[in-house]
Amino acid sequence: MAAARVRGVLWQRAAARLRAGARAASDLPKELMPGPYPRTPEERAAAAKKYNMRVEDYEPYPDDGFGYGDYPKLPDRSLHERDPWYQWDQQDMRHNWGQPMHWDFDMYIRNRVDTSPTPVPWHTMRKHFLIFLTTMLIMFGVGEMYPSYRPVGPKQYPFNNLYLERGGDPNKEPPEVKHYEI
Amino acid sequence: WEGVGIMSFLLIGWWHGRAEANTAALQAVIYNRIGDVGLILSMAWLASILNTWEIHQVSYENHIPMLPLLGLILAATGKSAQFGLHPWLPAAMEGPTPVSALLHSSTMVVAGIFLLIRTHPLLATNQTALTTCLCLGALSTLFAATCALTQNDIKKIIAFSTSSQLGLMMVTIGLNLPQLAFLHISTHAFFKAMLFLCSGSIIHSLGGEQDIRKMGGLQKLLPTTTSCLTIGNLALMGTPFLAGFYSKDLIIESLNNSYLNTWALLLTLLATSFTATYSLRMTLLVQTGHPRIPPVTPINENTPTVTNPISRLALGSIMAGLLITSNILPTKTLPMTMPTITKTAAILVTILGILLSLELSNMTHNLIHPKQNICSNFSLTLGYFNPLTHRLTPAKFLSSGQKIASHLIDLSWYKKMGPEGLADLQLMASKTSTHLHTGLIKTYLGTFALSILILLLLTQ
Repeated sequence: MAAARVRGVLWQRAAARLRAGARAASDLPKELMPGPYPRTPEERAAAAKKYNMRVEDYEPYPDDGFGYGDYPKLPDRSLHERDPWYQWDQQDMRHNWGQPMHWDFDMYIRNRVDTSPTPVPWHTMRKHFLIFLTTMLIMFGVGEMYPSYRPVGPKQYPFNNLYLERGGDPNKEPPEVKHYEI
Repeated sequence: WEGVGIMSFLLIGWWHGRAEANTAALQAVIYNRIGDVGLILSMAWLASILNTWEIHQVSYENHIPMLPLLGLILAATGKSAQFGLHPWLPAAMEGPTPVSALLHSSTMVVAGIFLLIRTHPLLATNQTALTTCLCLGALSTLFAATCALTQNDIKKIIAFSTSSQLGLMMVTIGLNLPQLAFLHISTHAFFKAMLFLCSGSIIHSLGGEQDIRKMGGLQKLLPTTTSCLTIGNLALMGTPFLAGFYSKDLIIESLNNSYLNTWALLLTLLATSFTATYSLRMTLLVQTGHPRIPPVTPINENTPTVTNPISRLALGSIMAGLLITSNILPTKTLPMTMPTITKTAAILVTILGILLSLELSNMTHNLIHPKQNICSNFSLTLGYFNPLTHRLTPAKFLSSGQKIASHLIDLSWYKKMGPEGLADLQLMASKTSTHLHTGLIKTYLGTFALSILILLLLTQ
């Protein structure tokens, strides 16, 4: 890829800058640090060059007071989507030296948010899962309304089913009671 | 509770250079933490209302409201991977197999169920809490069994099997039978740990191959291991008089004889048949058929360090059920008489699952299945639960957290509360006063004099 050629050029240029500016070895010189929002096309070109991007790819965050400055707005793609088999400079971060990092790069590492495309479309997934969940909840409600239990029958007493105790006529013959087994 | 949570996190991330292992460890610790919220809630309630954490003292209360019980159920949901907080258990298979055998099958994951067993006097009086446990357990067991049907990684199949059995234990809690749940914990530990150790031995013999589609014919190559795998699967299915039978069959009998939610009963029976299906599928693909392993694989069973534990656990899987039930009698009398269909329900449903699995295997060998349909997609992607929850929620939280912590605070404190805010206020004040100020001096003096006159007249 062009990464190798870019890498070589970047190294020499950054080394030259560092030799020139960073005497205290504490930080990058002011030209290489992020700056204010670029207003003129020249500033945009300079900012794109600073971040190692092409001018046509470079797009800063809108200037709405949130303090992004001239930092480029990269697509919100997590590191899961980068090629796992390519030999990156930093294999665990899937990142090459000098490549511009996303503003929210710590959210898009491989331990965090995954934005890679799913095999099944998102709305299908959501629909099927919600169908499953609502069906289960409704059926649990139905199951509460019609619970399952061992069959029960009314209580049976032996002989003549308490005919006398239940106020039957003692002079009359008690009716024949047939008991049933379940 | 905390100890096993942290140990689980550390051990899942054993190979810490592997990003997937780190993600899985994070999942485990975060889902456990969400469950811990419930535990802390119930502990706080107990401390503030009942002024004690002693279970004996708390058991004397006649009526515990829903809030602490829901807290306990949430804690069990998190720790024991019930539906809703379940994704961490299959992800925990990133860790080494001995970790899975010990923590994620026998000891750690049953901690949630064990909590509910120890606090069962609190739950026993509240029928709503028991029904919640029942329905949650039934849903978990069916969901996990459905997901296990289409998995191709041997460890994931056993992980979903664990999740399904944990759901069954939760169902038993919901039936107000904590001793039976504990019996199932004890017997389940034997055969599940053995299944994991056998799978670990197989994976190691094949040089790291975990996909069952690339295993086959191992019955002749690894006789001890595969025999123990078969014993473990039979115990899991509830084969009569092996370890699993004593607990699982009793649970199904109690289910059939209780007054409970019909749907929970149906789901549990369906999950029992699915258990047989995926166990047999695993057995057929791993042990029988033509070998699909690379030809030059140094398979052997020469290390007694591997085969001895498996053999001991096999002995335990056969004997443990009988030994435990003979020596420890249940405190509640379980139903002794029931119709034949009820008594044999578990066996029949298991045989149904076995027949289903044999038929599907036959079809696979003879016909070409369509590659994807709705049900297989649902099962394969674990119910779409993982993408739906693991993408939107963390993304929103993390990005809004970043924006609040850096941009919004800078914007508000350093700008709006400081110079820019002050400048805006001053601008507004000056604009308003300029607008009001019209420069008519004579009118101002006149109104001033008039108002002084009126005041003087009023004070008269």
